[in-house]
Amino acid sequence: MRLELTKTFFKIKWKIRFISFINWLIEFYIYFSIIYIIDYFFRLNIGFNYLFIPPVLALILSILKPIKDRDIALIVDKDLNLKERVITTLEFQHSENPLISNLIADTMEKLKGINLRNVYPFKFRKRLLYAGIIPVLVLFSLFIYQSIQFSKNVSVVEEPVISEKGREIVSLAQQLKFERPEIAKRLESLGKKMEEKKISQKETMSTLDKITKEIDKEPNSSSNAKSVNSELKKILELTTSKLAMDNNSSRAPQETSSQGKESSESKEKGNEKGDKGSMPKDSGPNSGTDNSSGTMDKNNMSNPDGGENTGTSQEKISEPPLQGGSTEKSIGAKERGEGTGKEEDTVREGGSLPGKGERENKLGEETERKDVQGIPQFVPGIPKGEGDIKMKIKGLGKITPSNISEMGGAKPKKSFEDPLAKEPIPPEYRDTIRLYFEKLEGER
Amino acid sequence: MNGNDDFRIAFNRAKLEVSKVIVGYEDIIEQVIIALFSGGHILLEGLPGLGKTLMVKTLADTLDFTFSRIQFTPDLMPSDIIGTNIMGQDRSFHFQPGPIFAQIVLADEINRATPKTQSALLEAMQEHTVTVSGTTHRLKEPFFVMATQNPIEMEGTYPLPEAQLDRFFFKLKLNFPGKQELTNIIDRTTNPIIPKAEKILNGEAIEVKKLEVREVPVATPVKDYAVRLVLATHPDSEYSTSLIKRYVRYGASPRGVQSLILGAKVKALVEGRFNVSFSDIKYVTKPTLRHRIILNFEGEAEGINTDELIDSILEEVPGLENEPVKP
Repeated sequence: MRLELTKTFFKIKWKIRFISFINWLIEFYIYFSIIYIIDYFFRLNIGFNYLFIPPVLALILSILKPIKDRDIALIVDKDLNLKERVITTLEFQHSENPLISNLIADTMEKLKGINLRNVYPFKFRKRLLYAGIIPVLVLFSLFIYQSIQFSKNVSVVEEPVISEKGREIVSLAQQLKFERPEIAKRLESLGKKMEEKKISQKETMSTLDKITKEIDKEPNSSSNAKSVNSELKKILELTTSKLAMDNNSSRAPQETSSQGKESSESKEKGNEKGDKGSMPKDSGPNSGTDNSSGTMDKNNMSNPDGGENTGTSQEKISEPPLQGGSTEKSIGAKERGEGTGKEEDTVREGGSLPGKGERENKLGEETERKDVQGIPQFVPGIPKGEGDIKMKIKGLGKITPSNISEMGGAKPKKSFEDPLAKEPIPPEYRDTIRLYFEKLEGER
Repeated sequence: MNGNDDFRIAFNRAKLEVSKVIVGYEDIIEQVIIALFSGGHILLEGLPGLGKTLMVKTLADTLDFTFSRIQFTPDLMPSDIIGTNIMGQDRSFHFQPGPIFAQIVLADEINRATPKTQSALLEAMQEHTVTVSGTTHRLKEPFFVMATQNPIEMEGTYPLPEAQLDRFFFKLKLNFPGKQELTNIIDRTTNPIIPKAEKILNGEAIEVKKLEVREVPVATPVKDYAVRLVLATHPDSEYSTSLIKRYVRYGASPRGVQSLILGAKVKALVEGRFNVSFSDIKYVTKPTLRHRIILNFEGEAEGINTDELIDSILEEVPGLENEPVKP
């Protein structure tokens, strides 16, 4: 009888220990969820390996903090209303008192009648409830924080990024100190100005563009200079995209409301020119995808003054190109009304291959989507207005805008958007395309 | 059938026999028998005509004990209770035992005797002996004093001293019966056949049961609870309640905790258990502690009932001082 009692007690003990482990586990997962909530909002890229920590911690704690036999007995007595039978049995089990044998038999009888599942039912600690409130609070606070941040000017948020880039430029200047002291000096000066926010973004872009071109011009550049140059180009791209974003956020609402005729006219004009100039008729199989103009479209979409940037407005000629490339090249391209498609390793949204065709509106058809600023989004390459799509695109492609109208059942807006946005440049064509543009450049 | 069943049968038979004569008061009858099996004395308090004396007499009829009744009056002397040495025909002194030399002694209206006479019971109740002229005489076991007192008509009465009160195991209060009980009383007492209790237990059986009660194990947390309850009756204790601090002069003595545990042990056996639980302790708390709490002047002036104070203790003192940490 006493052995049986010991066995039963052992079973109950391990069950309670298991529940203890589960409780710890849940509690730790609740706490770790906070990390992933923060990760979601701030893009910290925390790996999933951290998910293995809670089980380990729970196991350690359930081993290091075992529940005492006395406590188990009291819990069982209380939960099953055993009137302190178990605690008394546990305390007097080794006594020779004949009444104790009766007590053990009585306790065993009571324990036999119950299902072990009912012993300490699977209750969660109250603490878990409180712990569960914390992630919810964090989630709500971050939602509120995010909405507040969106309501503020985005440039304010990004200012630290510019300062940081300034520091990067200063460090890059150090690398060129001996090889290209003049450029290093200019870079250092630029970087410091950026750090101190004493220079406008346009000036920054212009200066950076000039410096990168100068480094590119040097035929015998060392690998160090090249790597520095590529870093500088990256910074230039970042600054460019930021400027585009700022312009978009500051000007687009006005344009949307007033449907600014002048700017849209000049934009269209410029774009048309750009399209015409940059898309030769014999542009090959890929030319039909309108990628070059897609890039420009993107610029135009993000920058309502994109038309000016693309060559029609001479007074804006000093502005660096939105998609990189040499200043001269971009100026020339602008003069010609060409797009400023840049050859890249990776394809950016809007594509980078030259396209060909005519469109009435570079912005394309208005969609129901809106960006964070509430500005309507347009489908690039799709003319505004109802009726047939007025696009003249030559060439073949996997999915080209020209065959989308034939796709039964598909929703044109969405179908247009995706292939244009995601079309990759096949690696084997990249050299061909570069050579093509170089050849064009030479001819001109 | 185990020992517990024997005990329960004996207990329930005694209770049944008393209930044949006494209408209602089931709790009181149970507590009287609990005190009997614990070896403690009882003080019954109630208005005249509630059946205090009848209850004691009925219990005495149920038990095959020698019984004597002492009507306490102001002129009663100690020697009238314990006995005295008288000169015999052989011109030598012989001890003439008093009515205390019985197994069940009914001390009727005990508060009407003078403190001197009341004190004559002290030795008998505690040590079950009587000392006369330097000679100690042992009383026959089991020895059981059942005293009654009237809470009103206090003129010409002598409230029992604390030392005397402390010797009573339980103080039981008889409340006025309800409508149904009164009807039953009429039926039972005005019919030609008056029910009478039968003798079902003798002294030896009671002694065996008393030993059996003492074997019942009490777990440490339960003992701890009883101790904390008794400590809580003391105004300067860390466990005492605000009411206790305000109205109590002295709390229960160590006899109080002994009585709590013994009474709870009997209750556990009656409930069919071999161990004492918190509920057993709670059950016997009021009859055990109510006469052991001495009120201060403020308490007396405000007419505080010690039962209210005990209620506050039972509410505020937790069963377990440290709740088990749930996983």
